[in-house]
Amino acid sequence: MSKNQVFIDTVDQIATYGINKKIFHLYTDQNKLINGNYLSLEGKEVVNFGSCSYLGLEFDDRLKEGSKKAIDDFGTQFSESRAYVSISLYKELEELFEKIFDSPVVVTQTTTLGHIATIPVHVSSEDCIIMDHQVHNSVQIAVGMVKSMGVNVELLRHNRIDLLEERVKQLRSKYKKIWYMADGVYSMYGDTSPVKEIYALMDKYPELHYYVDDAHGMSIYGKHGRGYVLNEMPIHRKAIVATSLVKAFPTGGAVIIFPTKQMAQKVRNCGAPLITSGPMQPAQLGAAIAAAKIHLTDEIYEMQAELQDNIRFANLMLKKYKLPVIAPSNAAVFFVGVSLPKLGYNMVKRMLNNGYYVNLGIFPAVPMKNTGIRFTITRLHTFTQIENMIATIARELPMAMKEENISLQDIYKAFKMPMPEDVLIDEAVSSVINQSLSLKAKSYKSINEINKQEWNAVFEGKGTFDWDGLKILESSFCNNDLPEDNWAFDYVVIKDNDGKVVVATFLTTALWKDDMLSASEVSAQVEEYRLTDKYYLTSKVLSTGSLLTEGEHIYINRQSLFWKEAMQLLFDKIYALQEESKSSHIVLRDFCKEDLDLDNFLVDNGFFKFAMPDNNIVTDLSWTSVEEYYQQLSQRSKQHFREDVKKHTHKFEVKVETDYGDENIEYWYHLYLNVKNKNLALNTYAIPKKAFKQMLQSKNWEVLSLTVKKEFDFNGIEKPVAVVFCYKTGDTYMPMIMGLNYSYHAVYKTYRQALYQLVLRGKALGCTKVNLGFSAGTEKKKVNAVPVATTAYMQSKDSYNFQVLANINAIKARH
Amino acid sequence: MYLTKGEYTQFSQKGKLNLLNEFGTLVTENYFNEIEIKVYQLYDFYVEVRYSQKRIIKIEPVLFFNLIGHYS
Repeated sequence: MSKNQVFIDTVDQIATYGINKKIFHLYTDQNKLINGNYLSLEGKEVVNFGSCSYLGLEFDDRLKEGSKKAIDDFGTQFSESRAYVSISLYKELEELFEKIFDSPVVVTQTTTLGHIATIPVHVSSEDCIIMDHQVHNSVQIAVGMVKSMGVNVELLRHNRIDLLEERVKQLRSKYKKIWYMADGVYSMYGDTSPVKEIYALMDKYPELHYYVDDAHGMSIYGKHGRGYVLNEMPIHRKAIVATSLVKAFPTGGAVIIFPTKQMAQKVRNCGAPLITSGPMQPAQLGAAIAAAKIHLTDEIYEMQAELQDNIRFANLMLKKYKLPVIAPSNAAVFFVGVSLPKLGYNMVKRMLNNGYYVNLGIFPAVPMKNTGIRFTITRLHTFTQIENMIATIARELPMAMKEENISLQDIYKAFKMPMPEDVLIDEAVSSVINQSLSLKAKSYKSINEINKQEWNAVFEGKGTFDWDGLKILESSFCNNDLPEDNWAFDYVVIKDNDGKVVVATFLTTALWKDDMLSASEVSAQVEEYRLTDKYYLTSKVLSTGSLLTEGEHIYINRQSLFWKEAMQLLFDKIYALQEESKSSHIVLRDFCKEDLDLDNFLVDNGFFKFAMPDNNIVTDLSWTSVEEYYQQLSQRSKQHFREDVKKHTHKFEVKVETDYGDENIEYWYHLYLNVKNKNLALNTYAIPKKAFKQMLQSKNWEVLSLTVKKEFDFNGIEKPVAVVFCYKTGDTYMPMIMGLNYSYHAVYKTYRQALYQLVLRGKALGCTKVNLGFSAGTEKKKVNAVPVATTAYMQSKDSYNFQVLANINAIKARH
Repeated sequence: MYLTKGEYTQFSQKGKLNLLNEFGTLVTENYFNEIEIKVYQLYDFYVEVRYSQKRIIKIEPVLFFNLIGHYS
C-alpha cells in the first residue's frame, strides 16, 4: 500500500466515521429555507456557526437582483473560453476590483484555479518555493504542478520568519527568486501571516517574493474590504495576493492581485484555467458586481465594524468562559481545542443537539491530536447567539470530557499550551476517571522487574520479546556511544480485579529515521542529505515494541469487558512517557488482524492507521520429507525451488555456529552490514555490534551459517557466505538478522538457499511456524511463506517531517 | 457572563446599542430640552444614551451616583 493510499484510507475512515455520526456530509432539510444564520438540519433548526460568509452579504437583495439580471441578460452560462471572448460583466467586475485593490487584477473561476493559473506562470524552474507548513491546500495543489518543472519546494515551520530568513540566506545564491507562500488568515486557527515582517525581509533580500492566499481576510478588513494582507501593507512589488469570492464576498470566483499590469496580463494570457476552463457564470458575475459596488461605499465599513464587534464579543466570551482557544483571533475563525477526535465528535454532536452547528476541525486539516471545534462568527449573529453558543460549549465540554476520559490538562498539553491557573471547568473530571475503573496499571523500567512466567504467559511465541529476548535487547541498547543505539525501555501491565492481565506491552523510545517505510529511492535521497546532516529527518519515537522486534507487541485480552478502559489507561501512561521523553510520535505496532472495533477505537483516540510491510510466515511445517514440502509449493515456486534452491543445496555446508569468538562476530557483522547498506526498503539505523555479542549470550539465539563447499568456492574464502541470527520462542522460529556475501549470490542464489535452510531448521527444531519477517515478500513466498498484512497506528505531535518527506515522495513519483 | 465597563467601551456605537438591547434593562428615560436621555442597566453598571433628533450623540457608561443628581 502506498503512502498516498494510506493517507486516503485514513481520511476516508475519518470521513466515514463522521458521516455515520451525522457530523459530516450533511444536507439542509428539503423545502426548509436557509434563513439568516439558521440552518435546518435533520428536522431541527440550528444556529449556523460554520459559515464563512462573514458579512452575511449572500442575503443582500442587491446581490440577488444582480444575479437575476445577469441571468436575464446573458443566460445561465456563457460557454466560451476567456481566451476568445468574455461577457462584459467580467470587464466591469475587473475594473471594480482594480478600484478596490488599487492594483491590477485577474478574476478567476475559483481560488484553486487562480493559484493554478498564476503559480506556474510566475514561478520558473530557476526559482525555489518555501511553503508555510499550514498554507492552504489549494496553494499546495498548484505548487505540486510546478514541482514537476523542477522547482525546488521546501516547507517552513508555521510562521517562523526567523527560519525563513535563514533559508533565504542559504538559498539566495542558488535561485533567482525565492517564493514564500502563506495564507493571510489561516483557515483553521484564524491566526495570521506576519505581513510586516515578511515585507521587511523582501526589502532586505532582493530574491525573496511573497505569494499569499488571503481568502479568509477578504472584505472583512481594510479600505474597500481589500483584505487582511493589503490592510496591513499596500501591495509589494514582489508580492502576489490571491483572494476568494466565496467567503465574506459571497458570490463565487476569485481575484488575483498583482503589483504590475504586465504580471497580471501574463497570467491572463498564459494561465491555463483562463484558457481552457469555463468562465464564471453570469449569475456569479452579476452578484459579484453588486457586492463590489457595496465594497466601494462606506457601507462596507459599517459591516466590518459590526463583524468586528461580534468577533470582539466572541473573544471576550471565550476568555470569560475559560475555554481552550488555540490562537487569539482577530479574524472570524475560532478554534477551541479538544485534542482527540473522539471528544471532537462528541462535542460537535452535543452542540447540534443543543441547536448549534459548528465544524469539527480534524485530520488532515489539523494533526490528529489537535482536533477541535472550529466555529466562525458572522455579522448576522447576535451577541446573545454568540454567548449562548459559547456557554453551551463551556457547559457541555466537561460532560463530554468525562465521557471520553480526557482532562483539560490533556487538551492543553496536546496543543502545547500552558494550563491556565483559574480554569472554571471542574478538575474533578480526572478524579472521576481514576475512580471509574477497578483496573490496576503497573509500569516498569526493566524486564527484570517483571515476573518471567507472567510475561511469557502472554508473549511467548509471539516474537523476540519474550522475557529472555527483552533482557538481551535491554543490555544491547543501552550505554552505547551513538544516540540511535540507546533506547529507553518501558513496560506496562494492566490487570483486572481478579489479577488477570487485560493489556500488556513494552515500549521503546528511540531515534527513528522518518523515511523508515518510504520507498527505497526516497530513502536513498534522504541518505544523501544525511551525509552532511546525520540526523536529518529523524524523530524521537515512542513505540510499542522496538526496531528489532516484530509481532503483536500489545497483548489485549478481548474477552475482558474492560479492554477499552484498560487501553485508555495504557494511553494515559503512554502520553505521560511521551511528555517525559519529548517524543514526536507514538507508534503502536504490529496489528495483523482486521479488527474494526479496535480500529475505530484507535482512530477515536487520535491514532491514524498506516500499513507496515507484510510479515511473511511459513505456517505449515507438517510435512515429513523434503519431497512432501516440495509438493506443497505452488507451480511457480516449485520451478524456483528446482532451479535456484535444490540445484545448489549440495554446494553448501549448513551449520549452527557454536564459536562466538570475536573474529567470527566481526565477520558476521561485516556480512550484516552488506545487507543493511544495500537494503533501504526498511531504512533503520544499523544494529550496533555490541547487540550481536549480547544476543549470542542467550540460548534462545543461534546463528545459522551457509558456507560454500571448498570444491565450489570460486573465490576460495572458506568462510560463510550467509549468516542468519535466529530466535526460538515457544513453537516459533524467528530468523531476525541476515548477513550475506553478495559475490556468491548471483551464482548460487544464496539468499533463496538461506531462506530454504531456515525453513528446514525451524522444522528440525520442532517448531510449528517460521516467521521470516518483513520485506522481500516475493522471495519468501517461494519457500511457502504466507504474507500477513500488518498495520500500525501512529499519533504525531508534529507532522512537519512527514510533510517534508511527502514532498520528496511527490518529486520521486514524477521522475 | 458579564462584561466590564472597560470592555463595553471597546465596542462600536452600534455594538454598544446592540449590547444594551440584548442584555440591558431600561431603567429610566427623560427629556432635557431636545435631548432624550435613556439610562440602561447592563450587567453591574449603567449606560447613558443621549439622543438628539432621534440620533445617538452619546452612549457610554456612567456612575450611578452622578445619575441621581442628573435626573432628580
